[in-house]
Amino acid sequence: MNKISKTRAQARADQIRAFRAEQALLAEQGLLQLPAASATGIRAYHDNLLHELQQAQDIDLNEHSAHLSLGMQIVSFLGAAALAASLFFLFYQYWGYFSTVAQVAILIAAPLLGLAAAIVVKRFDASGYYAKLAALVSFVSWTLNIAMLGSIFNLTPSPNAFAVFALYGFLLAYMLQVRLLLAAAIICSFIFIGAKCGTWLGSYWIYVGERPEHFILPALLFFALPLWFKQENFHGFTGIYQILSVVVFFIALLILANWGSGSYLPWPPSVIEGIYQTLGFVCSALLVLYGLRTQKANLMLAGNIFFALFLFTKFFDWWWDWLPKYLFFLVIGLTAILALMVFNRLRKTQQTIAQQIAQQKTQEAGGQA
Amino acid sequence: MNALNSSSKKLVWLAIACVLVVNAAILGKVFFNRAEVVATLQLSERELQLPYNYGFQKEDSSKRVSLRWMVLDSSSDVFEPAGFGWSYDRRLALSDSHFSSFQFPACEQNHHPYDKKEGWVLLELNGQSYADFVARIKRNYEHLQTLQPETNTELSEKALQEKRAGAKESLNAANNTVSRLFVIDAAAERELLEASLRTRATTTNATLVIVPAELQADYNRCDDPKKKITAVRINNLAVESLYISNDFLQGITLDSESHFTANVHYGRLNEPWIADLKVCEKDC
Repeated sequence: MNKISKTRAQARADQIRAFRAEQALLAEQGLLQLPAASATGIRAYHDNLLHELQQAQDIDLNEHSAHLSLGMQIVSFLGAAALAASLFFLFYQYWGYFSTVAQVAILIAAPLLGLAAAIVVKRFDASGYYAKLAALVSFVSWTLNIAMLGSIFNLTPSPNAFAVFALYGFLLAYMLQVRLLLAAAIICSFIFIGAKCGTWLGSYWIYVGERPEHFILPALLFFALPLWFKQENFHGFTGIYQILSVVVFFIALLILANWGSGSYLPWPPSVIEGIYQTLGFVCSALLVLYGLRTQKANLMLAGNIFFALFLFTKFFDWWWDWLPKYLFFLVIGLTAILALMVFNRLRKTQQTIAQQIAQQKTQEAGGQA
Repeated sequence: MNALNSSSKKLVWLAIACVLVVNAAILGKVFFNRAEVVATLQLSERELQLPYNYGFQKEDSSKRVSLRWMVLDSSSDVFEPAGFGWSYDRRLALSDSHFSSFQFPACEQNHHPYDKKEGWVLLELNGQSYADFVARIKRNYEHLQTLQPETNTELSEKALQEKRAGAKESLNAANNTVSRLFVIDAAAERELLEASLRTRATTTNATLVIVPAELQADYNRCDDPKKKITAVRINNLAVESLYISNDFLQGITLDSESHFTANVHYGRLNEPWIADLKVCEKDC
């Protein structure tokens, strides 16, 4: 079987399941009676295909297994966090008993051993969960490696540490398809780029978070990255890049929309807040439209949430002190109903377009026949 | 068996190379720094504070010490220096040229006049600043000895006695337990401090060293536009916590009651390390 991403494999399996369910329903109502030979052939083909997809990408073949997979993801995340914490405290507990040479050797060996464990486990573990756990332990060992070398040798703190955390995180994430590590690497990149921007603009890098504008450019870059470099072979990576970037971008905008003093712009805070409020509304509305056009439900949802946040913070600014509380909440309730009506209208428009396309296809198919 | 594909194998090698190259770079930097000792400070428990053993520190088997340092604000009229024995007040008045080197934004143009900056500070161990500090405490003590109670009541007598006892305690601490390490100058560029170091007269016992630090403009800088305030606040030295190698701790107990001396070297990259540590029965 050709190389296929987990996303596509799961989509194909879901399609086969839906086909079988609909076929059974139509057969029950006497609307579809396939010849026995064709039905057996299709069933054998699908069984074979599902088996191959399952072998290649460890997909879920029914709803129960999908629920279990989600449970396994949560458990493996908690397990990774606990293992990382355990490793961290283990280092500190026995750290003082080793000579400097032994400390350095242990620190360098730890991420490499974690990496070796991940590769070995990957050979025998079809689900990939254990290999991903080992990769997370390797990443934590790497951060400990850099942080503790800095501690032993009293090195001046540097933002470059976040660059090497990000580099190793990206390598492990792409090697073993670990979304959590991709998210960690992206966050480290945000900190590194933000800190470097802060240093170039004359402030001390440790206080990178005091100026939200540091994060706007990296957020836009990481949002656009999967558009330039297609992530089809990496399950869920595009979503991680874009959602994380969107969250960081809008949180930065939301802070600046309410705290203009945190900006580099040389204007009065009220003007800056006005600019960022407008930008927040425009960008979140554009994100909703982009999500609709590209059929990315998570981006559309994020756009909706941030649009609502911008709107409600503005309402709060304008009316919290001025209006009686029952009126304030009434206005919010009415706004929500208005938003519901707009979304309903959009939904109906989408459904009409989809129906027209379907009818057109049916007519074309009839014409060809 | 789920072996890695060829592109993943390349990533494995890249990951291994990343670990090895970054570690080599860090160790190379350490070697370069320590290859030449630029300055040595002989410090004691007065300047090197052991951590309080609570919270997370209980889990840490290694030992570290923190550098304790002070700033003597010569522009202040306060008789007893604020932050005595602590580091609450870290205000340092600078010359115009050193202050302007930081290029702090103009008060009226920017809403961030107190942004933290990286810079350099000049540290002085057991020098003129420490002598001035002790003299100031001593003057305060002697001044209090000459005072009479404002009103002839038992209460005012008691208040004066308490002040005298406090001043005596301060004088004793200044002579015996308080850090002798003072930040005496600062600038954005190291070269500026090197130039002023060459022209600076110092006592024979004093040791001077230039180290990186984090600082900001003084809080009252923008209070009065007519006054030209050229003071900064020193927040931290870039490296304040020093690791004690296991080699120095063999067969000795080091706790908050211990008396010790340590030679702290500063290398080419201005990064310090403890080169020697000796524990003494009483004062070293």
